[in-house]
Amino acid sequence: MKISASTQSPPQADHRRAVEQAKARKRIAWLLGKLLVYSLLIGGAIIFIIPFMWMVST
Amino acid sequence: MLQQEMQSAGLRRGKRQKLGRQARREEREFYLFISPWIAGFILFGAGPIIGSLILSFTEWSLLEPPKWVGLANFKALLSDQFARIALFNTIYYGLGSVFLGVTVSFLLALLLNQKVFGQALFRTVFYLPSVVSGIAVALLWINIFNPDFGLLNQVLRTLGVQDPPGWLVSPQWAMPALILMSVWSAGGSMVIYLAGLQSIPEHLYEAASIDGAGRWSKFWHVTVPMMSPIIFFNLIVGFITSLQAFVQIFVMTNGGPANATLVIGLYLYRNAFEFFKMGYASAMSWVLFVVIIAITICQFILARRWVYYEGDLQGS
Repeated sequence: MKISASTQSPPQADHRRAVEQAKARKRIAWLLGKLLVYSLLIGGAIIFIIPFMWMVST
Repeated sequence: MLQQEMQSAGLRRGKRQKLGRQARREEREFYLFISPWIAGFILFGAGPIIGSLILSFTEWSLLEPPKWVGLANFKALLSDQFARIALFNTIYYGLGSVFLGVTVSFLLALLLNQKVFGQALFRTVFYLPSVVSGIAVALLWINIFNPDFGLLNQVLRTLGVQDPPGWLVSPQWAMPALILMSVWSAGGSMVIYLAGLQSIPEHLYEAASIDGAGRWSKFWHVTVPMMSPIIFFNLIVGFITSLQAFVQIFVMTNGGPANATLVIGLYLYRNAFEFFKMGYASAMSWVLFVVIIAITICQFILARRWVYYEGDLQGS
């Protein structure tokens, strides 16, 4: 028998909410991680390439 | 029966003789093929090494015949204050450039090991400086470190630093500047780390995940132990290379200011080709060799505590 959200008992609803929150937290952590990786890569690449560019431009 | 055994023994002897002839021919061919390398090694490798060892016990100005002085060159080295300064600076440069280089290149390899957009481009950018010739790198960084119009001080002034360092003209900052510059060429060791990271079996991470390990835990308990032989290799090679540093220091500071960047390689060159003390310079090169060997042996002894070889039960 299918149980709709409105008829769920409170412990089940809490559990579902906790799972959703954990998923959201995981997603935010993943996004922050990607942001950090890209920031470090782009920052590092700029630091590594700038001496060449500066030398060419001067 | 006996006849049969004798016959088979004769056959075996014949086969052995035949194989022996073939083996001898292969041996001759082997020596023939490697003879250019052996000749090159004796002429340009072993010969000069033995020659410099003999010269280290002599006094030779290139103009007069060498004069045997026994251990006088080595005794003079002990009381030479410039040699002490050079040894200190060499170890300072070696420790700084190796530890900073190993850290930066390992971190870069970890970043480049992620599945990111433009991975090949990033790898190229980070590797590019290590294919530039040493002299070109030195000339580039002389301009970057220029206290008045150099890029680094321009950036520091923009960031609000009122009195930025003099870098290559300052005795306090000249060596840190050279160490900083050496990190720019960390791409070579980064590639080795990257190859090592990609060879770590995925099932180790899966097993760690099943055991409940997080990212940090996987890094410390899987990545670092599996990478320890590669870190060790880069430490050994890095120390050997940095203790022989010469080209960039010669071009950028020539040992100055106030001997702040006088390293053994440079002092050795000066003694040999500026002061024409070939014997003394040879003695110095042998002392440098002994220092490098001693540091390498120490590293191997310490490696037993932290380097892990897969399948080696003694490793930890």
